[in-house]
Amino acid sequence: MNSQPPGVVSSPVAADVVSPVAAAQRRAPRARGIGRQVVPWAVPLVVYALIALIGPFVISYDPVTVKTSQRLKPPGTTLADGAYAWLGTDQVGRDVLAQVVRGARVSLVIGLCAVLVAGIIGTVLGIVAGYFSGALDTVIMRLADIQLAFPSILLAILIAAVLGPSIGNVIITLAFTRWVVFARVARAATLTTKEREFVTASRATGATDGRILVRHITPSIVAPFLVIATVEMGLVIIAEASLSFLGLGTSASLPSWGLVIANGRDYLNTAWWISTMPGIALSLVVLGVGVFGDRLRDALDPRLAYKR
Amino acid sequence: MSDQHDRTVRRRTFVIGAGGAALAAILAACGGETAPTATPAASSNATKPAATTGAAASAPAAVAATAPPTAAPAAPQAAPTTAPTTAAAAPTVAAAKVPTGTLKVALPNRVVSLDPTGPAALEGLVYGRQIFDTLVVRDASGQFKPSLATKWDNPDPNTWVFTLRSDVKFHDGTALTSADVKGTLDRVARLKGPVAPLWASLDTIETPDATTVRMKFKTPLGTALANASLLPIVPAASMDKDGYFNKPAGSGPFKVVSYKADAGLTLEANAQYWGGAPAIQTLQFVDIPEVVARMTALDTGEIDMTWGIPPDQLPTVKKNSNLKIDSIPTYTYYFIWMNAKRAPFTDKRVRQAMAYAVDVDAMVKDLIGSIGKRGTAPIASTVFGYTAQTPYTYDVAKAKQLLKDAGYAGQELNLIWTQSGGPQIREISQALISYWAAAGIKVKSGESERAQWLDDLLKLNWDLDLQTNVTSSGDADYTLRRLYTTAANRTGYGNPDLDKILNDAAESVDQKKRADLYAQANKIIWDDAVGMFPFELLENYAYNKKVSGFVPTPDSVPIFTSVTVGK
Amino acid sequence: MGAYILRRLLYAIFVLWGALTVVFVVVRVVPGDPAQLIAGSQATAQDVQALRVRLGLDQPLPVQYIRYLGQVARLDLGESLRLNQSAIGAVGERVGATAILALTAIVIGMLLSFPLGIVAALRRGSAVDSMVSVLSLLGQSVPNFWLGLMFILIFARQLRWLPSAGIGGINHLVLPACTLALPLVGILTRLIRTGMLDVLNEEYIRTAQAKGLAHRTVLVRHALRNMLIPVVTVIGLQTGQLLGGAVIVETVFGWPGVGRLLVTAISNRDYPIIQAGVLCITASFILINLLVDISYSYLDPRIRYA
Repeated sequence: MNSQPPGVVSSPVAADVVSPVAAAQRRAPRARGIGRQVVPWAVPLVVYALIALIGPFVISYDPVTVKTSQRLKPPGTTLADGAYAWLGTDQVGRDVLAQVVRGARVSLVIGLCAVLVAGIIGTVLGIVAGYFSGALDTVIMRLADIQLAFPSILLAILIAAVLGPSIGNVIITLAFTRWVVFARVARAATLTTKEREFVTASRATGATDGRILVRHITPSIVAPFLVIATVEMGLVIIAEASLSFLGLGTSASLPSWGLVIANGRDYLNTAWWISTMPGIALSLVVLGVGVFGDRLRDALDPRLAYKR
Repeated sequence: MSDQHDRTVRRRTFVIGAGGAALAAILAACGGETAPTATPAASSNATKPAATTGAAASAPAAVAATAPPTAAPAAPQAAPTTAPTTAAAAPTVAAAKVPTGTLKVALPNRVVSLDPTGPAALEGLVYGRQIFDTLVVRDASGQFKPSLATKWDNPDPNTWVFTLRSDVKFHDGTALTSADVKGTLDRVARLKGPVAPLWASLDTIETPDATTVRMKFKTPLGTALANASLLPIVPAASMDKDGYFNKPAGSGPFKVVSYKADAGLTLEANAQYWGGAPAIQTLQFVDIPEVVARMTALDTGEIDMTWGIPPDQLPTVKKNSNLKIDSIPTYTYYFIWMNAKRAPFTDKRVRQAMAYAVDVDAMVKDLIGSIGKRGTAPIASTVFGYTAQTPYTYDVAKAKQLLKDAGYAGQELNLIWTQSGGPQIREISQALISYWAAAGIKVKSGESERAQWLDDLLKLNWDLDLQTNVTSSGDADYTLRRLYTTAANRTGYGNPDLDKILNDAAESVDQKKRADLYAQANKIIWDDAVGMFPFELLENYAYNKKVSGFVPTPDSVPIFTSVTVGK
Repeated sequence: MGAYILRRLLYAIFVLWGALTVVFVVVRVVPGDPAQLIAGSQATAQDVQALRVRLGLDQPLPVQYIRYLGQVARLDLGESLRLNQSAIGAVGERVGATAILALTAIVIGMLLSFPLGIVAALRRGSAVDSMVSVLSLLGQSVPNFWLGLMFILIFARQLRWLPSAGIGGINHLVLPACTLALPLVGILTRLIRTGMLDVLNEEYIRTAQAKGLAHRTVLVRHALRNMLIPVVTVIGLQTGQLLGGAVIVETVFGWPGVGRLLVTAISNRDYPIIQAGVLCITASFILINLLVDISYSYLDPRIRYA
């Protein structure tokens, strides 16, 4: 483990975060193996993405019309209008399956966008901090310290309260609380890369900062970025559910899985399926993302790529 | 105690009508089913001083039980005066028994403070009622009964004189006097909390002696008694001391043992209570925010009682043979306001169309179930001043016609609501929006967090607002004048005729005349469709069968003096 | 070492100031007026304004801010707007409950994740390994409010083993602590597995094995000890997550901790409580991470602080 750079938050960041950085430097020779190791694990995610993209066209969901006389029907009920409720109906008589399918898209959009926004902001700040060092580094990393020490769910509650319930605002809220991990990893990768021989050589031959950043530094960030992004994607989807639980999720007209789970929770003992069905869907996806992230990390870090 | 007995007790309690007199009722019931029933006096009598003089603690028990209606106001909580068989055994029948047992209650909502005059005054009234006393109490039949005040008088329209009991002591041993009443009201005015507006017209308070309080108002106040029933009296000498309200010494039937805002409140019986010691030794309030957890705790016997139960949970409660349910109409009702300052609601026909477009009966059947019924006025039917109105029957064609006549152009309307706005509010909002959509009215669900919602509500930053409201004082004034005058400017609606009616009603001390005025006011508000009033709510109190003698109250703020807990 | 700690404390003050400033600004930007919330919907505009004056909320923001910093410097965090209590008292009363919950969760997390992680590493690539990795991931994949409510329904309602809510004896602690621990188990197990594989692969272990030491002795002497550092680090970093998770768990189980206090305070716009709570959580986070860093030099004598 490294010795300590000053800062409020400890820095020998656990292997979880450090290993992809180390991996980045050893990435090149293994590029071909990665595909074989990782791709099969992406299949569940692709299926999920397809459901999110196409599903709502197949099973339509009407967020406005309710059928209160058909409420709280258990899975496998044939409804009064002849429709078959595979996953039952909810507290106002809407089809749970249709909501799960519709929610897939909302949750996917939130997860992807929040991670992308957080990732881009965090990575840019991290590279800037690592590459230019000095005062800029200090300011950015101290901001990161404050962010890290500040209870993130409370910050999310406050931001969500300012912005109000909508998908866009949930994305902003979650991105705002998650950029630090990206910044720290990007900074660490930048610091190591910029001292390496090919970079110093490049600089000696008169390459500009911009050229070095684009040609050398940025590629070194890609691998750790992907690993962190998969981990964070799962966390973000879960965090969105927590916001919904606290009443600060998406709006009712475009319910995410988290919102459906949260709104059905008062029925867990009387109509368990309302909350549980989207809960299972959400858990499977987060699990899928997690397994994929694990494989990706293993693939990118030869030290961990023990024969599996 | 058997089931049948319980039922008898409840029925008798209603009839005798003293909120806290269930102990007496139990005794009465035990004493024989043939005991004559005291019919409640007409509500107007309650405020006439003549009707209240007989209620002093010295009134013989037999009088209370057999007397003609005008003598009905028996001393509340003062069990002895109404016990038919053991009049000689006064002062208190209850005191003959040592308080035993523990009652654990989970409230449906959060109470964050024990200060009954401060910021959390109304939500905290359920604690306040146990720890403190009010000048008067309102019984289940809506009449005012003596409590700290043995009698009251209204010598001129602007003046109210209360005569206090002289034998009341706070838990710390100091005597409760007129100075404490004055101190409490001063504190209310100073803190500007939620009960302050009720006393806004109070001019001066005089305390000529320890048992007399003379309140002078700037304008006549017909609701003085209703307001007084919401005001627990705190000790003036200690109320401003640091930390006093963390463990307040009140004068009520229970003393505070410990209090932690999120963990709960533990109370113990006040053996020296002037109205007779409560039957239970320990009264514990716990805080269980999640419905599923609260229902589980009730089911497993971790708690003995709760209320505010969602309708879909009631069948499960009923299935448990250890539990029973008391249902009682409340002062709470649902309403939807339509902002009359904003198009399209500037046109009365659009407002009426909104009402015609909704099948309230179907919603009651499917969503509200056993927690409510169809609303028939801008106030609940339990409230003084209620008169039934002609319902807006479900008629989509008529709604569409009205919209067409009014020229509604199909713009999207924003319905604001917040999660804590009432039971089933999410389901209700979704159903309403669905019904309106079917009639061609586009409404967007604008759910927001409570603080934000309140902000929007008061700034009239909405087209439609969905919420419940409690007429806490049980008097139409509390709701109608506060919300529907042009000056109040809460709905965007203004009508000089209505203003005059409501102000006249508030300033009149003739209850008969007030009732007539409110009948007119109800009709205007209803026919002009200032709002829709789809449901009035019932409260379902669910409790363990080992609990008996519980008296539910329409304001959802029960007192636990009469409760006994068996094994 | 002393100079190092001093420097860290200086940074700590900076971060605390930053966090305080952020929360001070944010709570006042959030729509919703505490005076209006206290006065209720029936108050007149004059009443609300008078209340604002009484609470000092009528002053311009910079004045309020300077005044507040002055207060904080004197260790006075103000009076709650609602609770009849000083903010510091209200937070202090509840810190204990949250600390007990979080510590128990950490202990449960470690007790579960060490065996799981070590077994997975020793049997890497086997079915056991895959199972452990899926199980540990699952702990992170379930929304914890849903999990908590399911725990209540299973263990309190069906089996009647444990109470459903509230604070009390040790049996009240089990369900909330387990709910809070599960995501931690996921993180720690994977960390321990990775760390274990790392250590197993290192030269000196191979040397030790070559020297013929028994398998388990190798584990205990070298691997376990080396893994403590990342584990301790992650636990330090997870403090923030734990406290965040605690907000949810405390709500589900009616646990009277700081998290619930803060959530209520936010919905009531009780500024002093929000500020005091954030200050308290931030300070704990900094302190814990300082302790973590100091512990490195004990866990691994190679680490020195200049």
